[in-house]
Amino acid sequence: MKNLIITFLVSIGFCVSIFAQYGSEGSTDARSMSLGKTSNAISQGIYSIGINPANLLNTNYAVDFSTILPLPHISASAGTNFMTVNNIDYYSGRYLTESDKQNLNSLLNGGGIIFGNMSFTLFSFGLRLDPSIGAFAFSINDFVEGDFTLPQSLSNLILNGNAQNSTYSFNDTKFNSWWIRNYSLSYAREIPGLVNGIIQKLSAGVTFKYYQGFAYAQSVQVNNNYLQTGTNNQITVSSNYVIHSAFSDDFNVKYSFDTASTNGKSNPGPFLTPAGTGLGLDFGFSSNLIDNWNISLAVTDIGNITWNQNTAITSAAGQYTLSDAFDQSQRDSIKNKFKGTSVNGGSFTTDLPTTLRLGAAHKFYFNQGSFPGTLLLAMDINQGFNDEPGNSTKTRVSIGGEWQLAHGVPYIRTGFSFGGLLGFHWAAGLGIDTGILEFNFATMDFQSFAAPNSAKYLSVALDSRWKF
Amino acid sequence: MNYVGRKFTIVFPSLLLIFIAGCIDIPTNVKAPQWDVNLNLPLVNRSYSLDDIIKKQNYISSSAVDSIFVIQSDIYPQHVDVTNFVQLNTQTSLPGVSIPVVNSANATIFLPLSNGTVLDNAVFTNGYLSFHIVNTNSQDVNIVAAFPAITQNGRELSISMTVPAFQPDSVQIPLAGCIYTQPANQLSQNQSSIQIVLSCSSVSLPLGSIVTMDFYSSNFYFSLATGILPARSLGTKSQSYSINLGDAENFRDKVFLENAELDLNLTYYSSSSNPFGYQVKNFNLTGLREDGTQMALTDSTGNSNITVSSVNGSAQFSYTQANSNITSFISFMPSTLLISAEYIMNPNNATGTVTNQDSIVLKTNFSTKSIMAIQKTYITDTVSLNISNDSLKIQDTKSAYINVNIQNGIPLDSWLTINFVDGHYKPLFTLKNGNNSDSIYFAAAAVNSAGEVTNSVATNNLIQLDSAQTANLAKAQYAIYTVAVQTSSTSNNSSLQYVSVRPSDQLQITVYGGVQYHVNTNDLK
Repeated sequence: MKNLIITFLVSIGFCVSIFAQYGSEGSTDARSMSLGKTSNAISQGIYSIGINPANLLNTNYAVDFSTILPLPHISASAGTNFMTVNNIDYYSGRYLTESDKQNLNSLLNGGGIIFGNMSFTLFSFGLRLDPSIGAFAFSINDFVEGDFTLPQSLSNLILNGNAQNSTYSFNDTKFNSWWIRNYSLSYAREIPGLVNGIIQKLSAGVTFKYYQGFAYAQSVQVNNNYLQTGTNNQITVSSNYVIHSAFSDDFNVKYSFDTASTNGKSNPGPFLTPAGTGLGLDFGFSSNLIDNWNISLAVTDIGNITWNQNTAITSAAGQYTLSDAFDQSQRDSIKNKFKGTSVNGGSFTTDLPTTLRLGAAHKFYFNQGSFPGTLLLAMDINQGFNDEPGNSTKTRVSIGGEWQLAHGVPYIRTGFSFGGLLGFHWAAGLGIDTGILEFNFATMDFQSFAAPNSAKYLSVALDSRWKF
Repeated sequence: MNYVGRKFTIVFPSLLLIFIAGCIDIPTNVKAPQWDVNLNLPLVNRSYSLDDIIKKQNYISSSAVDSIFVIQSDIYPQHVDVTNFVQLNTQTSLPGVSIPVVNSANATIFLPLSNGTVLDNAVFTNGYLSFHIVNTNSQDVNIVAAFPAITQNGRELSISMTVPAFQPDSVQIPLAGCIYTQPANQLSQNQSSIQIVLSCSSVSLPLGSIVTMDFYSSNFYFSLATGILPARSLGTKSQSYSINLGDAENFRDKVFLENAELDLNLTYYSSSSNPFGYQVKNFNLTGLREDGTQMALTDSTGNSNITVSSVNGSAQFSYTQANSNITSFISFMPSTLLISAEYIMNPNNATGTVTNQDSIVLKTNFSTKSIMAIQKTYITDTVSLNISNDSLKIQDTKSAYINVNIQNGIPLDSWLTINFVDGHYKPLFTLKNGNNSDSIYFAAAAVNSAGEVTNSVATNNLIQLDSAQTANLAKAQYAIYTVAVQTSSTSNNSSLQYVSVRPSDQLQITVYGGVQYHVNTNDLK
């Protein structure tokens, strides 16, 4: 625990900017989060790293960067898609009737997802030069992501028991988790040749990423997993799964097949020995149209990570029937069938959370005497190409608005996200721009605050940026 | 930032936080819910052969010949030594023999051995030869007595003595360590005697002078003797043996056996190649119970005493169902066996060799095959349940059921009754089956008229416990169970059916059950 605290503090100490953008579902900067993770057409400067590198040019400042001071980046979210505070309140200490059990079980219909993610950046710096040269940015970002899908059959089994002649499938069990870091170098510049009467500015950008992976565990195959109770209560367990895992040397993880002895103590720090490495690529286009419209397109995280240190493949295959609970060998066999066997994984590759991002934004400048201030409206479509941590092949659509009453007044932001892995979210946040320094506060789950007892999720993000 | 902006920057977030804080109603005392869950488990699914069930025991084995159990008793031995047979302790004498006093002349006499014993060879461990002399002559007489058949330290035994004039004299010759070898030229009529050659002389006694001598032999003990030793009883030996019946005691007067057998095996142990024959006379075997009742093993005529003679040193006799009451005797299940018999050596007065290390060993053992009829027999026992409330929250079990399915290939009907009692043996409840019967019954395998199993028979019992019973189960300290077994009646129900219980008889047991369990995670802390 002491090491963890030291690691955390050291990490924060190195933390300069933390606007990690990641996958179709993953962590975002506080401004984007407050707009319902709507960011593709409105991200600016270093906020555009990982979203759309072409937007590096969408800033009025020559230099922008973030430091731990005055406010470090914290972007974290956690929750479930099935249990609210109201639910917890209702079921706490309650004797469950059949109806209660049925309702509780129905909450996990389709599988209950428990997730958590966190991101931070060790360094982020943006530099905008002459339009003929373009803009550059560099950042170091960490992502810790994890989700676990709890099969409904498991809750059914726990609540109701194993009825005779019934089968409980656990095929919807799934989990993804990793801790990775990227070192990214971005470049963007205008493409003046395509400017016309509609397109006032067109820019393109690219980001090259070097990834390091520190920990990884994922269920890469889960099928034909079930528990069946027969006529004479004989229990058949079918177990077919494959789990990949890899850990940094500094975690001192000992697998069952390891013969070398370790002291079993992890040795965490800000710069761990990677368990895997890989390369990634982002590219994007951004166009400023007439009448304050912006349309952007980007594809992020094309590439993969190859894990080759402390890897293991844990798998189980086949089925076993327990017909005699007093038979120790049968009990051992069924336990081993669940547990599976682990072998050295050698080297295996996982895709990066490749995502297609399409966004549009429009900024309204209201006249004096009518509705005051300015309003920025934006919409994103995010389509992940895989289900790696932080990503989902389920399309997520979001809209957001940012209103500023007057110059110097904090921005009030809100947004909505639909679809994706976790469904509907109502986001909100504040932005305070003091000129050379701005602060942003956000939550992706404003309903957690507006109606906390109905909340399933909790998320917060805050950050600060220096601009010159 | 202008004035409005600065105020807004401070006031708005503050109001927002106050608003949010007022909305949150986070539960502070979260407890896990409680619920009832139905768990179904397979408990037992096993197939046993009787050979598996009846583990290797001292008394039970499996016959390779006819694949049936053989119940074999211990061996009850009786050791008899033959020391009494290797001795001649009856004194013999040859009194008043007149021996002429003649220089350079011998007289030969024969001192008889007792009971007509003919010794070819013998080694003395003890014994004496003695003679008494009366010299009525006026001069001293010199007497030399030689024993051609006896050697001492490798030389012929010989005694010289001078008897004074008008005096008597006596001499006793110890024979320990002497070896007797009958002279080859000893006539057959003298073979049962010890040859003595006497020489009497004097200085000048006239011809016709004599001395009178008496000869005696007494207490001859041999370490080895060859010849004809007369028949002799070694006496009657009685010995009792305890039998540890164990649980079999429950089956007294309830089990009726077929094919029982009791074997007598007699062996003569000797270093000699030509031992004497022997006879076991009035062998008697009586079974006793603790209550004093007894039963004698008899032959088919009712005679409880039998006589067995050896052939070539050994003898056997078997009591079978055909020639005795052995099946009744074993079914009587005595707790003590009393064996008595008289042992007679050389009953036919034959030639042989005996040593004082020889012995006769009688071994008695009985066996029976597992062909039997059993009246309904109850066995009751108590077991401690050792139910720990820490490890098993039985009181949280609201109901339970156990389904017991027996596919019985053993030709025995059986009943099981289980009563649960508390620490003071106060009854709590009795297990009942689906028919609300206290006894859980399992039908015997079907048998043909010869008692051989033809088909296994399935019996299913569903035992259910309600919440009161499961609560009582949590209080139970002991289970008192009674098992009853019996063989089926014959087809016309006139008598019990004899059945063959074989090692290959199979018992398939399938037990599964379930509980409705009240899950209360607080109890598990």
